Amino acid sequence: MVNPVIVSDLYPVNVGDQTVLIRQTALVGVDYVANSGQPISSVVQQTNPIDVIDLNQWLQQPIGQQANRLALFVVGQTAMGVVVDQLGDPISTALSLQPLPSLVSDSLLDPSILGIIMLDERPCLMLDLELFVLVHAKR
Amino acid sequence: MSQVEDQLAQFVVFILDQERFALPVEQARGIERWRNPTRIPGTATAIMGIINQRGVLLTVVDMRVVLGMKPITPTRRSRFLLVHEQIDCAIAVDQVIDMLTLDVGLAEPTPHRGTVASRGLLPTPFGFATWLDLNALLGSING
Repeated sequence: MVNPVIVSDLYPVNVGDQTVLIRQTALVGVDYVANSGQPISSVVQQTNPIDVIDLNQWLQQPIGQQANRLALFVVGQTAMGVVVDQLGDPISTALSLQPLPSLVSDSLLDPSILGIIMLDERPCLMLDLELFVLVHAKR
Repeated sequence: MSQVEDQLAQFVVFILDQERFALPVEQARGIERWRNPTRIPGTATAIMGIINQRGVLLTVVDMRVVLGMKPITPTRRSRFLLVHEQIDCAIAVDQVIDMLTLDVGLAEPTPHRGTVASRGLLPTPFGFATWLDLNALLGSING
């Protein structure tokens, strides 16, 4: 029997009605961006435009009604970030990272999806944000 | 020529895009109300995501897409049909009609959808229902 992988020090990220979990250490900065209701592809950070991946678009989730959304800047990635609806309070509790069901993992080509964590009995994707940006920046 | 004997078996009969389909009850573990699955981008188009079913992660399969129909649009009648075969998963269906005892000896050849998906047409009180070959269908998702 495979022992479950235990992870801690995460941020919950709200993307539509879904929650994605990322490591706290993956973030180097957070900034507000005006919410136009449309997917965002770039933001301005210290007068420099930076390409971003809109996680709502990636997850096919509706964009929230709030005035501002959040751009997350990723450690080691100065040229690419992600945009989400909201960032939740940090979670320091140790959580169990479960593998994806075989029917899913057999067809999944994205190595940045690490597995599933149950949060309030809801399955949430755990993302390796640094790898996610690398993988999706090439596309 | 051998005589065709009656073979009664129980089936779950359900709707996909206004068509009736049937699965043997031995392959069905339960019926659950709809809830939005957790999406996983980058997977096969027929995979809608995953749900937590009493602590077990189940893949949700849009059987409409597997059968070449347009993707399901959830309504209040939509359900997950939990199935158990080589793998456990949840099949998204438009509506579960009933559990019926049907005579498989009366099954007729399927005129469409080929032989991979169907084991025949079963007469039901509501009209014919396509008897799905679940193993073949699930095997085709990543194939």
